[in-house]
Amino acid sequence: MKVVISSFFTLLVAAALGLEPGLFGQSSPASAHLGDPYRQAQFSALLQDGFQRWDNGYLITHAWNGTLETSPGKPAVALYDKDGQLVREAVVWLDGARSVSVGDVAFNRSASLMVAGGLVTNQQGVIANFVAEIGDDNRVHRVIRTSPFLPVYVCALPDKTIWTYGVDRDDHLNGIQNSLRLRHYSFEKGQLGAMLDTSSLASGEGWLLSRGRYPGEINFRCNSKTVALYNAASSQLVEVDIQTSALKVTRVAALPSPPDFQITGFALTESGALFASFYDRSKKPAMSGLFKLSRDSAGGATWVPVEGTIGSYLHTSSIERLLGADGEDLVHTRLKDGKMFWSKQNSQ
Amino acid sequence: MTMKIVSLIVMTLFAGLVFSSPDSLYAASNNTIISQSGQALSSVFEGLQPSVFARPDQLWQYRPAITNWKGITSNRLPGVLRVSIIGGGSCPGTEVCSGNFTVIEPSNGCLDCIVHNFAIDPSGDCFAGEQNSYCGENCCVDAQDCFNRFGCGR
Repeated sequence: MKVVISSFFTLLVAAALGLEPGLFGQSSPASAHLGDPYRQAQFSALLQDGFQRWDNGYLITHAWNGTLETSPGKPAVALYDKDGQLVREAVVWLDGARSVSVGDVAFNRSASLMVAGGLVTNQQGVIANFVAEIGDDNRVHRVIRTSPFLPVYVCALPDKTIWTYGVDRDDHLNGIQNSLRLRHYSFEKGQLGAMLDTSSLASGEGWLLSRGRYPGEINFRCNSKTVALYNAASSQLVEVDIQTSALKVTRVAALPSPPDFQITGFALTESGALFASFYDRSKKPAMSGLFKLSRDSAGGATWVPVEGTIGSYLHTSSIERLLGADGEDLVHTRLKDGKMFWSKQNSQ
Repeated sequence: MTMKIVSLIVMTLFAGLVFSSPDSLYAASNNTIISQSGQALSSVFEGLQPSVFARPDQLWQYRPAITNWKGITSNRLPGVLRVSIIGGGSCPGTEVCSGNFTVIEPSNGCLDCIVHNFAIDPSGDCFAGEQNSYCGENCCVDAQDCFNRFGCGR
């Protein structure tokens, strides 16, 4: 098993070349091709720390200086346009708070900036969790208090409703494992829906850490039709049809474990294709590349390499990390030089 | 006359409050807040009970100190742990990956879960960082290996 894991990328490259059976015993030739970048731009934010992702036409950054905590006087979230220009900076703070944390940020096509987080009062030590909409003045505009639900990741829809992945907590702030993990909120009506009891799923222990063992092990994205939640720890993909609220859980072939192997980026295209960038340092040199989720006829799925993207990290690989999708195109970096690239992917 | 003096004092106090705390100028205001059920709230804290987990001055009693911790800066020391309310369980969530050339070492600092320290080895992997996660009944700090894409040049 150890040999199989340590040879992960070798197998993938071999699979891409059609030399060996594909990853995890399946025959899985490369199912997609990434074209040469047709656009690039310099982003100063990519040279800084924090969380960054491409969402509905903008680069969102937050959690700078290694902390999720915000300040009443300083921006906590920034948006950059396609040219790398800073277009919005939002202060996330609420009256009466002693500390505020922003755990995730999303941007929708209606130009609404949404955040999820928590805060503590000054005087009594009351803890509350929330999702909030940032107004045109780049301050908190509308708030839904979600307590006892802790929203971990958020996703914003064009109708200005918001989907979140998280967990209910008890009086001791322990996560309630059989609470419903997906919530749909409206800023007018509050909670519109709740679903997904992960304790009833196989590999339920993979859901114990709400953010996974590292940032990126659990990913939450949406497009106009689907909400997608991928948990690499439990090897499950959860999808919700936004129109019907129908929920589907797909078993995905297991990936090697961290820290030698990590997901560094994730994207859901408008047509529903899922991509992820991986980093593997189990062998030297460390490798990176882009993968597409390939669904099989038996209802399962496997990550397969995207042709021409696998190689040594920061050298022969064309993918440093995936930042997101721009319609059907993928937004990614090649090096750590602040340059972001747009490439078309063509599924075969 | 008395009214004028009182007004002057009130205005002075108000101005002092505002200008002694520039941050307050940026605080959010005029936002609408609702509960999960859609009910309007006057404050995001309305109706919620205080929690000991929001009081670091009391929380230290629940967190035994871990000795021989090499790599954790003072603001992360157990006992004076800053409370983060993001993350699962009663403990803060995993922190952001930081540091380079990090080597994870064993530690005996916690009773009910396995924790690790970390050290810096310049001959090691530049991309090897460290992130703190928390485990056990007392939220022991555990240094975990992670991939840090920053700090190693291109």
